[in-house]
Amino acid sequence: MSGLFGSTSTTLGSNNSNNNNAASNSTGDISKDIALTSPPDDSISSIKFSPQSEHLAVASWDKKVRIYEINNQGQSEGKAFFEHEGPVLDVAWSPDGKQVFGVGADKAARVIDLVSLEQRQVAVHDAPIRCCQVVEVPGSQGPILVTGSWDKKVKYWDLRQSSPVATIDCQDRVYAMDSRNKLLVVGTADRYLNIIDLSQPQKFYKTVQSPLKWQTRCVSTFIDATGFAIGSTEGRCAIHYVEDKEQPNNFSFKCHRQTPQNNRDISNVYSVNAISFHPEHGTFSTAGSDGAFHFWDKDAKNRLKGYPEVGGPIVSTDFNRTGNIFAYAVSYDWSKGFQSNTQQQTTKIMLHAVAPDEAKPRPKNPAKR
Amino acid sequence: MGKKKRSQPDLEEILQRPWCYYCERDFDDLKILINHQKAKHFKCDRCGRRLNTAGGLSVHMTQVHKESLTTIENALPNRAGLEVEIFGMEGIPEDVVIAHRQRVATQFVQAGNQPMNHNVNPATAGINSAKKPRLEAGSDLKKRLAEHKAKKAAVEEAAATDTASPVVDTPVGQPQSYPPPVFTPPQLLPGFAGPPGPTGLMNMGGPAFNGYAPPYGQAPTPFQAPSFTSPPVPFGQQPFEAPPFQVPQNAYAPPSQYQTGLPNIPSRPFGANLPDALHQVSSAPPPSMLQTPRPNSLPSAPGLPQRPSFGAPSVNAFQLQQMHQGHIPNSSLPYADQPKPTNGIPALASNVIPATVSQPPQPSVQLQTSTEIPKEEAKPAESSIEKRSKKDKDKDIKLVYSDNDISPEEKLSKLARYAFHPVRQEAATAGA
Repeated sequence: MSGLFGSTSTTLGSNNSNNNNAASNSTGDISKDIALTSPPDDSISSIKFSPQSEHLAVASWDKKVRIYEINNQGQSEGKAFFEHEGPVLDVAWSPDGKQVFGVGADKAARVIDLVSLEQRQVAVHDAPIRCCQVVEVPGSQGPILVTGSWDKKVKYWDLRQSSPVATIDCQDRVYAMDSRNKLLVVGTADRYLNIIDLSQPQKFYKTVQSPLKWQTRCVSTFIDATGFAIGSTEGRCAIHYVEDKEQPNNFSFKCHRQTPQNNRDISNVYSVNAISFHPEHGTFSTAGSDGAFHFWDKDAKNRLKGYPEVGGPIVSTDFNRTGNIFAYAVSYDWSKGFQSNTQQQTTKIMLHAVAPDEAKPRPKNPAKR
Repeated sequence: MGKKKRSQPDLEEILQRPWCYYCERDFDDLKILINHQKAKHFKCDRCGRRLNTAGGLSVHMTQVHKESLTTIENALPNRAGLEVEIFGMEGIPEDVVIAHRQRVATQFVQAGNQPMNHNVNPATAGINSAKKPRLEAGSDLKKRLAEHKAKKAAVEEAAATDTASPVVDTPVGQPQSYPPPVFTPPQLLPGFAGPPGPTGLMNMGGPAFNGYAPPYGQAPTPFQAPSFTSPPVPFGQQPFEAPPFQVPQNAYAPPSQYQTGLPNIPSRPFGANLPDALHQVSSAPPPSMLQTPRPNSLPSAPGLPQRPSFGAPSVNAFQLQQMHQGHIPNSSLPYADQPKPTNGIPALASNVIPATVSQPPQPSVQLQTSTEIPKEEAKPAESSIEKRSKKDKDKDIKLVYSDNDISPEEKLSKLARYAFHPVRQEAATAGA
């Protein structure tokens, strides 16, 4: 795209790319990705763009939530931060882009108002809060913060009260959550997926077992909220529709797998840490512990673009509100245990300018699977 | 031959023919059989080297490629193990030999005693009732298959497909025997109908089939019966100039496939004619395959034991062929459930018939329609089968993060440096 970060060309095979089972033969170029200035000191847990402005909130294990402003050239500047008492596990923006919420291992959710820069605690759980989302629930006066925690509960918070508006018990610890429009999807341990219709937020609209046989790592809703994508620790991603009549369209695919050069018999399977949907095209990205990310088109069932390894596991990704920037956070995600947490592990956030053809669905016949 | 078209050679002759343990195809000659085994079953898929036995192949894989061999290529699911050491006809367990003989005999009886009638079985007429067991059509199929094979032989190029086609059709009567282009019912593996083998001729080549399988999966499939039974009746629309296509090698099937695969054909005695015929035909085959009214694509192989002829099991004709090829379709179950071939014949026949689309012996028109359907069915089946077979060959998966019960974040949060102090459960234990 011209203008942003200069022009990024999608050169083929600029680096050796570890193509997974994707059928695409195009390799993207990450050489022009720009790193965020002064990233957190420790591993990053989550990054989110503001829905209204060019700001990026970063939650990190160093207990801080930082907010950066990104300008057109990709340069970033730290604008604000707030601290928790424990590692921050997730971050969310309010729909008006004025408030940033952080949740973490201190079992609390805190909010910072970007205008007044005041912070306060707004939620509490019995166990670390793993995910948060801000949703609009019909009938409530303002945005509602939804928090999912390892205490197996999902709570709705109206920011003015200190007790939750509603609480839902889940089958197991909440591992992932995403929402869009009226759809809220909660992924828990034991591979449950709870689908909540926000017009009836107190109960599960549907509960399904994840089609993937391994632990759910992340969920992400389609931009039209008819379904969601699930990523697991076993290098597999599933596309799942909410409504029964669309169940035949469900499918899953393998990704983020590599064959080590010296041994052809085994394949390393990495977990899919993050899935993000492009706000405009409906295509999505997956990012894994292998340090690679790919863009996929779920309707054509093919991969649009693959990118070479970025130098470390990617723990979180997000598209900005227009979809022209794709940010990915690289830091050690402990997938290999604590022994691998060495000094060489980098912690960085990269901003990738999304070229027009990178994330757009290709106008071709859907590939038969 | 005289009056009696030699569509059904004597039983003894059929029984004497060497046949391949792994894929149940029979051949004219021991040499051909050995060649077939070397090319189809004892061939290294990494380097293409042909070994002599399964044990040899295993050693080769271990020494040269540092991989271990687990299964035999292009073998029937229940014959794909490495335990038995087969070379030509040696090493076949006695019970398997007996079972084979019984199968052949049953097939022969079924096929041999029926007059060749071109008419499609009423039961199977024009319907791709893959699931409908059509026992009665067995003999018809055989005949049709034989006819078809003859036609196919004429049409198809010799195509490499394994010459295996032997026997299978024999009961059906080699094409040659029938004057009319009756397609001998594919007695060939009824089951095979599944494999799409486009050409419908089951690629005797077996392995090769995978390629084309589909379209004909249903109807034409008869040819699929790669295994011995009968080389799928060659589509050979052409009059059976070519000697019975026992070899049917399904030359059609992707001609390319066969071509490579059909080493046997040339060697086959009657193959001599066939190859020529086939070759000439070869160009046509693919199209002709569709066109040619495959005579009972159903492999009439009576003896198609092993052929998972399970009528309806999830395996359609295409899949059957695939299975024959050695690809286990998703529903390997069919095989699993298959009773020993001996009683499978009727089932086989039935399967085959449905699959092959009880095509009337009529020419192409019918074939076309029927093949169309099988093709579509075959395709999904094929893809699913292939997928399955690919999965079987997948490498071992090594999960980088293998703890399914605890998320990485939980582990991290328990570490001392990250632990939330007020609630300090586990101190400083190494995470993950």
